[in-house]
Amino acid sequence: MKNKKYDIVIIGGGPAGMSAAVAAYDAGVRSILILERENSLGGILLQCIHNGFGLHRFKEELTGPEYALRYENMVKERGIEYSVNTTVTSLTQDRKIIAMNSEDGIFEIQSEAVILCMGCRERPRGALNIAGSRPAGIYTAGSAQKLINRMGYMPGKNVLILGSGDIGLIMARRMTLEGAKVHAVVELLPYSGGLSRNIQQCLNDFSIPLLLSHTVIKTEGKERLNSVTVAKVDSNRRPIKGTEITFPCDTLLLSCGLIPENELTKSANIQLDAITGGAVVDQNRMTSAEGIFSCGNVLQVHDLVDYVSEESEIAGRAAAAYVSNKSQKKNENIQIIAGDNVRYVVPQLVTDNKDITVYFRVTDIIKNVRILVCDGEKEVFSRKSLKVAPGEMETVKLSSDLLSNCKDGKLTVKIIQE
Amino acid sequence: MAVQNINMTCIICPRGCTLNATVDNNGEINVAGNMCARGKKYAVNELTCPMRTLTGTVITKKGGVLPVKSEKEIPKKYLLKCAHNLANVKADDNIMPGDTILDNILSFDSDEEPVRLISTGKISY
Repeated sequence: MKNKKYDIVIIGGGPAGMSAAVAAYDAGVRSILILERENSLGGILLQCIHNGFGLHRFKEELTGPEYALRYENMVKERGIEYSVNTTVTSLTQDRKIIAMNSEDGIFEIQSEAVILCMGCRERPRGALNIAGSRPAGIYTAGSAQKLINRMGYMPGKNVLILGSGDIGLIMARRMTLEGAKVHAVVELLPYSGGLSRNIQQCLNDFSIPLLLSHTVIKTEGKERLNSVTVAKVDSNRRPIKGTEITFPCDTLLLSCGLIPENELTKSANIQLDAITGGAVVDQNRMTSAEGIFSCGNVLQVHDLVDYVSEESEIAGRAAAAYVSNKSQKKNENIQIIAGDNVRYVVPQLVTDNKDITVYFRVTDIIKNVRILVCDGEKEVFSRKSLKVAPGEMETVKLSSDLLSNCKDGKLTVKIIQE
Repeated sequence: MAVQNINMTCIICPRGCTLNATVDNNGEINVAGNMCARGKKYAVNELTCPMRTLTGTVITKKGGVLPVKSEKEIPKKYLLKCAHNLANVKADDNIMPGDTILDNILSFDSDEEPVRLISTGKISY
């Protein structure tokens, strides 16, 4: 690597990083570098070999590798520089990056702007407090997905899955197609966090039971897992005595949530949102550190890669504008606040009066609701919705009129039941 | 009078509409709850011949792993059989994304239109 100074450095070469790079290039920036720790661009999409990606973005149904390849080609067509097998070890507020790989050793890069696109990782067993011994056969669902789809290893034959988010559901089908017996998908909550289409095509199609309001209370086995016991839980999520079911199985997959991977963000002392686990950003996806942007799953966990691309284009374009015209620091901030029944909002700050879309998640499944935006006590926006669910990201558009009329510097997004 | 009334979740897009299909005495199928035309076609297929896209992996001669899919949807009843048959496939290592691996994954049923198996990505070693 000759050049150690760039206009924009993008950390992470998955869907977010590639989309941000393409958008920044198309906005006129030529000095761009993508840093990727794996041996190729594409990120987690490369192990998501099922279809269902790209319906919004490309108006056709693609598999993960196909979606990744489209963006990889866009990166290559533009001649955007990228460096694989390269790990970033630190980032500072003034956009100094320390990275390393086996060719260049440890090196430093100074960049005018940085876009954080590190994605997220899975909640590990250690964070779940599952009682029992520590035999082989307990994997996070994503690790099992990588073993099967990228490395060609089958992790087990008799499987139980804890967590009914999309990765858990997809893995139930994948293990079944590969010849394993999936006994059940167990979900702590009274509803699944996954898309309803995945309940249909991954569970119902193969008659795999979904045990709602259940959790794993015991794992047994010495060398290898040989059984998992689950029990029904009460409204406080405590196991109910007498409802235990023991499944003989050699494999337990954990699909219990994703955690944005923000170690570098923390090392740069960037303000984080306690709920999303990602940075606090403005409408340009700029973080509390000037010139450092964040987008994709490292900012908030998305339902669809199409939305990751959309968000990353916002960050890519904004980083390009920042690089070409740095006098854009604005003071008139409006805070966007998560109100009743809303878990979080992104962006959390607005610094100008252009139309924007606010993304948010709700706390519970609620039917027949009104989505409200309030300026103090006053309702300034209202929209009906038949149903909202935590598993589905919601949006609300704030017009420039609405933003410029905001009185007390705060807009609250809330949900009320009709 | 409807003789059959079935609720189902559409799998065509992430919205996942709840569809209600009724079949009347003449065998005519009416679909409600769909937000687009593809939902209607999906519901009719579900009641006549449910269709699914097969995705999976095959190994290559040099031991790599290659992601593949059926070029179009296949009857759901053949999904497991076709998936298990992938275990017997060994692809060449010069296969590129989009290339054909097999000309017909439904060759065991001569009544079915042939469906190709195509590569969807790069080989990982």
